[in-house]
Amino acid sequence: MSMDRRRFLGISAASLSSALLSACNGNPERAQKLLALAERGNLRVEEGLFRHTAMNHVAPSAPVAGASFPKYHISKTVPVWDTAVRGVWRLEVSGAVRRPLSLTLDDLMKLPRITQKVD
Amino acid sequence: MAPLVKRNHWVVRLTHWVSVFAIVIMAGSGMRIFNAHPAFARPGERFPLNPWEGRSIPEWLTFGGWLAGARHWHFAMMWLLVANGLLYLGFLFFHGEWRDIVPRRGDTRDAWEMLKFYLFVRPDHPPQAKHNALQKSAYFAMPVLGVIIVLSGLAIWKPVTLGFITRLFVNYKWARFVHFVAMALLLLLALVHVFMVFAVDPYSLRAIVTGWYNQARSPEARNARPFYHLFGPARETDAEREVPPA
Repeated sequence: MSMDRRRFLGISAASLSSALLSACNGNPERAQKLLALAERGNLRVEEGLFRHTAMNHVAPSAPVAGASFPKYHISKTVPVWDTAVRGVWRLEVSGAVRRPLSLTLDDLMKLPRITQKVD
Repeated sequence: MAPLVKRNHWVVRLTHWVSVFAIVIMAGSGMRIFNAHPAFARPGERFPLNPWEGRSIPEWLTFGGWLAGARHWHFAMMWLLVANGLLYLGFLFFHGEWRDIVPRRGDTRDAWEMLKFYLFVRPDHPPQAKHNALQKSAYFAMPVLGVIIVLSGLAIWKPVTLGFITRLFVNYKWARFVHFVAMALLLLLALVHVFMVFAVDPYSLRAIVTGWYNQARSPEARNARPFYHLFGPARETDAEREVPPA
């Protein structure tokens, strides 16, 4: 290879590796704008392709929830909490928590509220 | 004078380098997404086909930082990957380059001859056109794997709405496994490809950047195996200058 070809390869290798190295930071500011643009584009694709009117058909084989509420199921009507069957509705905060809670709807409404946007 | 030939059309060169960038990001972010649940088994089940079931992929192989970041990159870069892939496949078909890559009768025999040559069983490099049969099988398999990856990816992206695609792979669990295995195979092929470029024909790097290729330095002309005759036999420059025999 002649000298100027070697220089060409050397320069392109250096510039390529520096470009790659700078790109190694997975979240540069400039990339965030492109990612946000892609996110908006994806939302529009989903809204266009997966229109609710086109999707809103329950398969005839879908099971009726009955007493299985509140497990996930497909229902032809909005499930309603039947106090006579299930008792008073409570929100259970349990598991790996320091202070397990069992809150009624009234307890919940009395708690302080906060609105927070998480990016 | 060096016999330069035009080897790679600019569309092929462009799509090649865009693919490098897109696949690196897609694979890295995909691995970070996988690490959110580094297993193929559904909760309560077993998945014996994966020997590393439950083990995360090493963090240095992942891209995106966290699950949401990785998904951001994955679902953004997928558009570039698919657009680039369609451009490449469309060009390949309409411009006729598919003939260099689609397997033909006799390729199995040629592949076997190439293997014999690489294993030093056969002394001379089999004659070849633009690509030898081993290359053709790799370059054919890559877009096929790409199509499988995209389809299985759609199946796990929207498994209910695109359920007809998910059902092609039996169910969500298998679609996810196929997506991962196809990616692993594609990365393996890419790794072998990069190794062979540097070990057998580094002169092809010029061809994939500028399009020009020096035929006198082809692996067939140099009788090249990995790291063998990498710089060609000693008297090559004399042959190029057409020095008359003494």
